[in-house]
Amino acid sequence: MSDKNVIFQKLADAVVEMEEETAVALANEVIEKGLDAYEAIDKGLSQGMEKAGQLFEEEEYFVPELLMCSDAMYAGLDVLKPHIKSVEQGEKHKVVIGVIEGDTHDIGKNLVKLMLETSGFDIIDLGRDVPPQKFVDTAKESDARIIAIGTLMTTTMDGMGEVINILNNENIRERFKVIIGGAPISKNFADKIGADAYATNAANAVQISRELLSIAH
Amino acid sequence: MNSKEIFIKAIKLEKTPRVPVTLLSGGVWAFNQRGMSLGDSFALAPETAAEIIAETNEAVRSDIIWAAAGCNNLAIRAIGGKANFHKKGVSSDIAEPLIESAAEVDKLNVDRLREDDGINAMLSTTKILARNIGDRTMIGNSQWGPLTLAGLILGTEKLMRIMMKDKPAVHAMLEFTSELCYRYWELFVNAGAEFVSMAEPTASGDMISRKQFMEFTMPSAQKIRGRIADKVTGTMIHICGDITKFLDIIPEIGVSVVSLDYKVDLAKAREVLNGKIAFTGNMDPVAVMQDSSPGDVAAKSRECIEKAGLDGGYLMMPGCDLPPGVPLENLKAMVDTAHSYTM
Repeated sequence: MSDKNVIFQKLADAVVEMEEETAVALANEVIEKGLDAYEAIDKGLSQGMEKAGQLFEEEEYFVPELLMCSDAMYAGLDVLKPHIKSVEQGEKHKVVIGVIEGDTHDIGKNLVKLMLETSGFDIIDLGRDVPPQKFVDTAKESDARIIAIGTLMTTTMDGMGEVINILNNENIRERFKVIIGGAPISKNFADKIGADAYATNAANAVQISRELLSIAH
Repeated sequence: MNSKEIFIKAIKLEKTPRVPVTLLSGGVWAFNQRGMSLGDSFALAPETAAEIIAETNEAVRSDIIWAAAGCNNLAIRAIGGKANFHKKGVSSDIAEPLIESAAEVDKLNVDRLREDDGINAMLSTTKILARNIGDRTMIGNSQWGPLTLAGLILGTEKLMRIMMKDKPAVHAMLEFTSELCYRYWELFVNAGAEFVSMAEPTASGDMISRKQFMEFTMPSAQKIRGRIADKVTGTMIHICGDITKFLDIIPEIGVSVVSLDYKVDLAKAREVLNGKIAFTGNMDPVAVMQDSSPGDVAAKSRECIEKAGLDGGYLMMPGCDLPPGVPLENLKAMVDTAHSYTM
């Protein structure tokens, strides 16, 4: 392994091992050695987060571990981001994400956001307790490809259907893929309200978003 | 044998003449049926609120009436949190965490529970329910469990981070939230509730590991269960999501009943829990209770009974709180199936 790849691997490991300080030190080393910041994110931090997502899916890691991994990743990212040459960023697919109106539980949404972001999507985060119309308006303004909606509560899930009703009423349903998720949500519910897909967890949301937009992994 | 006697026999793992059947919470649902939010219900005269609850249960025939159903967040509001109870058909939520860091938990005061108007209204309603129907119907009360309360007070993400980075801070928070849960229960038990439940969605197997469950959830749950046990007929813990991996250790908490979400298979629950503690739940609140036909609800209910067995210790119940759109016919189909199933 080249010197460069050794550092990238260490960066990935720091994320998986939840070592925030190590991630920062390694990111600084990347800059000092004049290595490419974008490559370090792509082959280091993002790889690490992807591995953490896998461990989450395999039930080796749970929410506390995944949050610690994300802290390490963002700490490294803060160091590297200012050094990215903008030309390398290219055009990213936009995703409008939020927790539906009436619900303020946003851990699930934040994990999906994190995993999508590390997989190269451009995220517009509307936060929590978001009115259905706001999803539609933001998606239109930003020319997003995907609308991602989450909820934890059985008492708020019907608002997701409302987003789709609005899209239909405005005759713009075909412009966006709608992906939904959260504890009470199922494939059946997604089908019932006419969503394009249901994601079981954050890692799965990435895979499904790629499939919906036919993006090769 | 009346409803209350059947319920008590079931939680003692004794055989019952019919399958006991209950709702979990149902407060938002019941008042939504009358076009009201939970917040609206606080403003009602306690007699009127009690009448609505009792009338609703005459139609539904749940073997537990949950006093102050859906009102758990009143405990957070009482100590200074911002809880919204005014969206019709929607559960209350906490807009912002109450404290910035775990150390600030020292500033919170449990004694303020008695100062909340909503809690006082619910206590009056509970007294009336206990007086009017408590002889034949089990009156229950539910509060969030210690880990969930800690998440609501500090913010769940922050709590999850300090579970990794600062365990003593988590334990200090749990000390406070255990007291908060216990003292809330105690108010309602003094008002006539005879059964108490702690809801621990934050301890879901989808959120935390078995190790974290044993380290943070078990000791606090054990402790408050132990303190309330001799003041009530029974105790319950409800945990959302998939807790199959915790099932074998849950009896150690000491509760009489564990309430399971739709993700836990009842046959598996029976295999692990049979003869140890009673178990309930599992009927899918959305796919079955809300979105299926009464005929399909009845079929699903029979399937639950057959999986859970008839050895005593199983109570039929939806896996979580009822979505507001659940048709009354579907609740009747569930209850009728339990009542008519030949034991």
